[in-house]
Amino acid sequence: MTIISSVIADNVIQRDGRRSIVEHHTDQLGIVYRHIYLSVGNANLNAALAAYAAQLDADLTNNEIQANIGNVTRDGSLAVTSTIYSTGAQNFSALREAYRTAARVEAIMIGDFLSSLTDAQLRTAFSMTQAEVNTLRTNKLTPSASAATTIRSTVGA
Amino acid sequence: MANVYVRSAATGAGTGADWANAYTTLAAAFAAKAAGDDFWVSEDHAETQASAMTLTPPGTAASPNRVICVNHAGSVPPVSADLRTTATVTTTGAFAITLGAGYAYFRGITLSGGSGAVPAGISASGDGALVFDTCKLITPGTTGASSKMRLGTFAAAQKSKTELRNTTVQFGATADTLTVNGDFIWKNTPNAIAGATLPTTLFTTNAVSTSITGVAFLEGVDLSALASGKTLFSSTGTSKRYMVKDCKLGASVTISATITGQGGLEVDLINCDSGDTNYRTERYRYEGTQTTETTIVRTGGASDGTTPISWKIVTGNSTRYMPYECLPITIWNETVGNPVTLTVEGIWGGGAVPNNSDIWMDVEYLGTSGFPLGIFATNGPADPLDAGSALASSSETWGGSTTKFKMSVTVTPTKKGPITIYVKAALASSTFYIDPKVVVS
Repeated sequence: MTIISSVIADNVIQRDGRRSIVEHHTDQLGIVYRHIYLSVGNANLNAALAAYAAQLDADLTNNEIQANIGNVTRDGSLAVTSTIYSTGAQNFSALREAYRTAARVEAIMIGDFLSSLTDAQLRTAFSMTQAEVNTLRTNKLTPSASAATTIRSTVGA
Repeated sequence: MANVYVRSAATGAGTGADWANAYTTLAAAFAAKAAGDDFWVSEDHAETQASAMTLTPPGTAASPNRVICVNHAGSVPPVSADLRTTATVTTTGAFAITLGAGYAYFRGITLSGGSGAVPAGISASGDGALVFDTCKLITPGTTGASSKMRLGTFAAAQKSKTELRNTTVQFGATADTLTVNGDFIWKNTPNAIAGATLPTTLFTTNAVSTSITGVAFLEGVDLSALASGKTLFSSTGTSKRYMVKDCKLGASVTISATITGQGGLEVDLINCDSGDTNYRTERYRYEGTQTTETTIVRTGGASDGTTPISWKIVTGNSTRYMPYECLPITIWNETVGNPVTLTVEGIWGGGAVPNNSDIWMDVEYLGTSGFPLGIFATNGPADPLDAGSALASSSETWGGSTTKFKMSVTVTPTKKGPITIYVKAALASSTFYIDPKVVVS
């Protein structure tokens, strides 16, 4: 669980009966996220608090995965990734989907990153047998790693 | 400029020269024709394919295409009375519709990308400009996907403009999102979110491909289908500014997701609400949030004529060097050559009056001669290392909170014209209320 505490920090009733709500959600690192909204008068504020905590949890996970994929598509095997809010399995799964539709430099860089994974990680990420992993390495990942090396070492005149 | 006819039921030569010999697909018509051509799409056009579809209008910036749904039994070429809104272009299965680089105006056409348990959708990409007028954009696939509907270029070093006029969007899964890149404009659209399946978050940046910065402007768009539990705007690593004006919102909807850094997601909301109001104005930034308050207000302060208001500022990650900046307050000044003192009243619950390094105001005014160069004055700290000092206390009457204060700046304008006040809040994790009705003396 990324969000470890959620409280309603401010609740001011407005002239029309609605409420100005400020929620504070805190993650496991102590970072506070503020959720500010105007609630209808009869809303269940605690239910809304819990629902937003769950949504924020998912957003933090997705944001980290997206940032990781962005780094991989730019830097390949040299990408710096994080797993503070997401798991390795979630990232591999998302990277698999990204690789499926990637093209040109992005495909090369993702391939370069995947080439740096172990066979066991690739078998899990792609739901492949060892033989299929070997084929993937030969046909896609190793050429991508070579191409990425060429790209990284290329300079203009 | 040629007239090109498109009708899926046509059985002629497929030259596009007339209805009898119309192209049966829009893609074939686009591929064969040229910039500036007009594509007349029959009202009974129902183009469907179970494979990826790429529609690349041949139009250029100087000679865009028109792609308009009309009654094929009407005048040739069509006239106003022939306009229709019933043509459909559809992909089924795991196949998306891609609108390639080009310049075109679409009217009365429904684009539906993908079907079944798939994440495929609609992607309008590439360098160009596309206008959708009285169209429907649908991604029926029931497998949710971020950026399932993606409008505007997502390639670096490209420009794009996408405009939706009276055009609705519809999604097949709650996890679907709409990503807009480059310049995006959405105007004059009732019931803008169609269908029964509503996205949890409407706008996001790209999930995978590069997101391109830009400005999104929404005006006169009914977003009320998205209510409690839904979020309008979210963003990750890309700068994106949304300006939302005169739009209808859903009750209790979250306007902005958590913003992760300066220059990331930025949302300005101007007169948008779910209720019958005309004063709800908000600004969302990483540094803090400004909303409209109707209870903790200053007696004799700002009002829409009926309801008194103040601005509630909740700071998050603000610092003295990167403070939260409120929406600007602009007044018209007629005084020239004499001092004008501008005062903004405020209140907070922090105990003693705040320091001028906690909250202050910058004033931009016309203080030069020979050119209209703005001059800035401030009641904030004199320099970055100035310790700051307590603001003046105030005896005004407020409807809540505890400690009243006021901020004043005196300037000497050299021209008549606008004076703009920027209230800036620096103290993190604080709540201030300020009255946007500036007292001029």
